[in-house]
Amino acid sequence: MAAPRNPYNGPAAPLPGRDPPGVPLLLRYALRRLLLAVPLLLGISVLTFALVHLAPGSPVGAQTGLSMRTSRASVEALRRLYGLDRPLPEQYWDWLGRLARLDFGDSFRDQRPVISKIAAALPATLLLNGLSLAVVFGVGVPFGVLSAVRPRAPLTRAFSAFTFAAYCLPVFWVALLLQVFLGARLGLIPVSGYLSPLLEDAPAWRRWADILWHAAGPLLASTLGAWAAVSRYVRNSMFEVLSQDYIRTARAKGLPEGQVLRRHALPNALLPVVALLGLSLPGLLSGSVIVETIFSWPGMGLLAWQAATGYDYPVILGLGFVAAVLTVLGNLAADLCSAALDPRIAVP
Amino acid sequence: MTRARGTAAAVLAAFLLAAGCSRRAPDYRHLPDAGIPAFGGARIEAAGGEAATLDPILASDSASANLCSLVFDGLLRYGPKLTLEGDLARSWSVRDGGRTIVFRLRPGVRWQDGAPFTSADAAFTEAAIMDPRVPSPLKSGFDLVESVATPDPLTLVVRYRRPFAPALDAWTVGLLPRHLLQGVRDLAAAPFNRAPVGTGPYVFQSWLDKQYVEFKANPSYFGGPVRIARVLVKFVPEPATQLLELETGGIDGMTLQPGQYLHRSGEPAFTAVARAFRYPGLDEYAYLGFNLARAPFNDVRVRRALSYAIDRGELIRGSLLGLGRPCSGPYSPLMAAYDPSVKPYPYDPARAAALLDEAGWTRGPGGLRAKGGRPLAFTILTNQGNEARERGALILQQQFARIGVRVRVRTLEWSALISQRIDTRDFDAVLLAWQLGLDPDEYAIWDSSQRGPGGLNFIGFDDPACDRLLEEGRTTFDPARRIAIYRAFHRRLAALQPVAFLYCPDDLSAVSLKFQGLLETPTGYDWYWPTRWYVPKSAQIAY
Repeated sequence: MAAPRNPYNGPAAPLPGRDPPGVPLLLRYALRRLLLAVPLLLGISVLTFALVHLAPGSPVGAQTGLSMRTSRASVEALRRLYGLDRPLPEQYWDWLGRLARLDFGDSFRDQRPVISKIAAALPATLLLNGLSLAVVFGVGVPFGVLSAVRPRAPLTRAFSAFTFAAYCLPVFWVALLLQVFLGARLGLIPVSGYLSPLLEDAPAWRRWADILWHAAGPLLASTLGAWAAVSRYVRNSMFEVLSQDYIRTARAKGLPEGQVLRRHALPNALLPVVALLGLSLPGLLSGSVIVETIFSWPGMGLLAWQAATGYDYPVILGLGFVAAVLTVLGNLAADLCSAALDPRIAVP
Repeated sequence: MTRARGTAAAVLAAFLLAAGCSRRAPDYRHLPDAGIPAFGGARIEAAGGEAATLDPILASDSASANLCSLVFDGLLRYGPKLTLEGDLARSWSVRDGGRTIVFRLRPGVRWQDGAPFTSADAAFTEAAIMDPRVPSPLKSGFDLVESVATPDPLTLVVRYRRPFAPALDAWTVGLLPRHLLQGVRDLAAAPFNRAPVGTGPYVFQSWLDKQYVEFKANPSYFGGPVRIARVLVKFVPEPATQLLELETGGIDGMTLQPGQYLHRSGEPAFTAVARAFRYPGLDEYAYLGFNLARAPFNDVRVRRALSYAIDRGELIRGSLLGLGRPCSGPYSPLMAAYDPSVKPYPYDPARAAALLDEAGWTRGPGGLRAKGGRPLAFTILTNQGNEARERGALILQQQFARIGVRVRVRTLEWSALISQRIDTRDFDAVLLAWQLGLDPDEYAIWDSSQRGPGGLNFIGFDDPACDRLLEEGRTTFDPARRIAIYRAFHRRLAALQPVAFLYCPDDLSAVSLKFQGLLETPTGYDWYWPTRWYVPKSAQIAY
């Protein structure tokens, strides 16, 4: 999963104008942002298309290469089949026209519709990244609070040391270590894969348990490094809140410390975390190429890797465009959440 | 706090559950019922690339071709001696001076859906391959077909415009069922490609995207009983992951990398479950190709000198960790066309120096050779991402430096190398490899007619004697005479060194010890495996 991004990078745009009669302010804001997204996405589509075609090489070369059995005529036939013999602007216009009808074209590799390839890859990535997000925040937030409240406790220190070490290690190396020690040596987790073959006829609960069990490796590999970031955010935010006057007031009026933390400090400290969570949403759908490839996890990252190494233009473009749309929508959702939660942002 | 205790209990329970699910690595060394054939069990093979199609006439990658061979049969196939034998054809005869081939088909064969297999299916397959709308990579094998006739359901008569011996090799292609595909407009996008029906030993079951393709034994396979009940080909892109899966019993076979073969195949974790095999490679040979249109490569003395300057042993140690064999010509030493009397150029720097002196390239100040003020320097191009070749290019650079030749090495992305340098003939020398078929015909690579744009003879080789031999080889069906022709061709190429022939990488693989009944020959361990291999009952894991 993508590391949570800094919520302060993109401050939510202040809501503009007065509330006209009939249209709620938030809705008007959302519509305006959606309209603005159209030229943005067009720009992104031009850029992705150009970048993909600028890369040296071509899908026909990747498929046929220098093969004794492939005549030049059949290479030319392939080029015509894929429309690669036409000028680039024409190809782009064609692609855009089909995109407008939500048609991403067919994969060069196996002639299947791109949309069905993405649909087949999405569940695995969604599952892994959903779990990963839950684990990152589920572990990171409590430890962030703990390290703010008891910064010197041994448990806090151990956790910090561990997460920071994990943060510094490259993901592919962590993944390999997990495979070797937890997978091969101890036999606690499967080395790779998604669903054990030969389990297709098993009852549904058994298959789900198997998939979750297979998720353990990639899940650990993708979350270990992210805990440090989240717990730091929470810790800093918590520090700030704990030094506020209303906390001192709460303590002065004799509230037990647990209640001070739970009722007064935490809700305020978690505001930036909500923004962080919102910004992580687009990452839910775009898989990690490294983690998915190492663990043979059949998601979007593996699809992207396959498409990129095989010059599968329609799939690369489709994935790029889906990612762009999701990022724009995710940003919008994050901004709307912040606006809804924090009156200071919502009131112009 | 009870809640904290509850959480702790839940975590502990989850951990115990996980531990309960965990499996120990299997050990297949001492099976109590070893040697007792049994039905059942599974073979799970790892594949580094996912298949693109299960249609044998469209398969252009090895992953797809491997899967197709489980489901489909050709009229002919190759046997352990690397010679053709009947598969769906019981016999064949060549008539009319080689212009007509008559195949007699095996009676009683049925498609996996029960329909009878007939000569019409073979004719349909040929028509499909040659259909201009079908992007089949196999067209060149059928280009010369004039007509295909099916006088009766068990006879196929193919007429060629000219005698064409490689035609027999072309008929090893898996045959398609006419009754299922007739009238399908777009074969390339047909649903059949992901749910095929063939005549082969395994029946397609399911294909889980980016996970695995599953097959089950065909109970009515004409070749005999198929004992291993299920075959799965699992997509595992990372070689390191494949090896760990092998050692934990997650897969039963894989291709080994040279490092894995050398350093891991002797470890206890490996030897408890699997055997490593090393065979001389049949897939490809590596070569240093010279641009013959450019000086100094238009001088045979320079080319031979460069070949003498190559220490092939050091090259193989450096780029393949020693797991390869030098070759002296355009075939794998296992093939009959390879003339074993032709030895690879020995490493002989003195002879190389003498040849260069003779050609006028003499050592100047600083040790660099030059002729008429022009230094002997050139660039070796190779493709990015192939570590063995990238290392090989650097080793060649050093070896050539020893005889006073300066070499620059450039690596280019594969498609860019082809389109920007090879197609435009803008190169001095290339370090590449040719994929080999089992038929010795290499007309497309060496014939002078193939020098034009897009032709594979991009080095510009033009030798009338070789052209004659290639033509003769294509029109001669008699196996012994054909071998003699290609051996003569091999000898001539070795003398001319239009490319410096380097090595054939060994085939390295690992196979689970649970499989028994292997037929090991000098050319491989998995001949006829579907009808020979079995898994003893005690090694059949119940899931």
